[in-house]
Amino acid sequence: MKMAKKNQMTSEDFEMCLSLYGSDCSAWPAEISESATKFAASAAGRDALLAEAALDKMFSAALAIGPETTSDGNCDMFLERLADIPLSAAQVLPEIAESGVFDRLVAFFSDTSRWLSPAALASQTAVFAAVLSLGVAVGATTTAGAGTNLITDNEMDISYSLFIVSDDLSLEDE
Amino acid sequence: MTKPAMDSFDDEMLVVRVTQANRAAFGVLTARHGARYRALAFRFVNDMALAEDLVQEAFVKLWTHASLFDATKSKFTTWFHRIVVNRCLDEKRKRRILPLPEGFDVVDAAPAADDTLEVNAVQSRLKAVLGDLPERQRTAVVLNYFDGMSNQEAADVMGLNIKAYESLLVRARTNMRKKMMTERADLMSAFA
Repeated sequence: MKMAKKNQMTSEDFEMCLSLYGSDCSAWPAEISESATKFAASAAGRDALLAEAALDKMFSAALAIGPETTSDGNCDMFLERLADIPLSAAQVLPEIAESGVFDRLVAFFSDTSRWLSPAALASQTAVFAAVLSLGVAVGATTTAGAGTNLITDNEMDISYSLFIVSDDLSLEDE
Repeated sequence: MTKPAMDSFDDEMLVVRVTQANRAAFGVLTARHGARYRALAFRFVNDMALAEDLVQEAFVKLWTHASLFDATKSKFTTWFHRIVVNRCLDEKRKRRILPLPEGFDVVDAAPAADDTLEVNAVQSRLKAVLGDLPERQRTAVVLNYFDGMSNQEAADVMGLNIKAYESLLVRARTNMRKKMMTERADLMSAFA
């Protein structure tokens, strides 16, 4: 823990140590114990120690009288209420076991935490490789056939025949 | 071969049986943890009737949706603590205006009225000190001081690493002490 100056403890340092190590300064780490004891003798140190003691006392008192340590008839009744829950609430059984393949797939992919599981990663890699292979195969086939199966400009231009007809008409008019 | 007693099963084994609609397993879980979660919820909402309702809701969820629990991811108590704490925090956020406690204006004629007053004084002081804390600090304090969880367990419930949790706890303790010092200073100045 950093101190403002060596062997000199500030109020903030003392407060922090008090929260970390408790109110017995002699039990604090050796390197700060001496400066802490000095600070504890000051008015600010005494106030902080008093508040710490009051806090401990308050927690102890609250625990002693609270539901954590005291048992009462109401708690027994409450536990009986809990034990009776199965009599009034119907259990929602997991549906995946009874559903079809599609439902299983939906259930599998709806859980995003499974997307990075080894099985999911393997599937993703397989699909990626398949799509890539298909793309390369299609590309290779098209390139290979480019030299023998040329497409002419006439075939590409769907309006070509219209212009021919127009040209023919205009020539006939002349 | 005789069946082993349910009491000897750990929580995770019992939840597996609850998914198979085993009422005895559910009964063991409620008997084992019901009082603890009742007390925990009370520390958040400061109202025992409401605390009991919230914990009952959580146990109903456990019965109806036990299959949601994944023992490979967390312990039962960590998982169930989260459910109860989150439900309590949701309820607290909803209840902006707190109603007066039951019997607020009724004169207490019981012989132990003084004791009740003392209990109420401690509770209201604690409520005041805890109530000023930010929600996460208050949760850290309740899990550590009242529920008795270890720092690691409490950190797991809150989804924090241990360092972050301890830092939260130290800040909470410092804030509570400051609040008490301020109260004391106010009291002293009033008498002066």
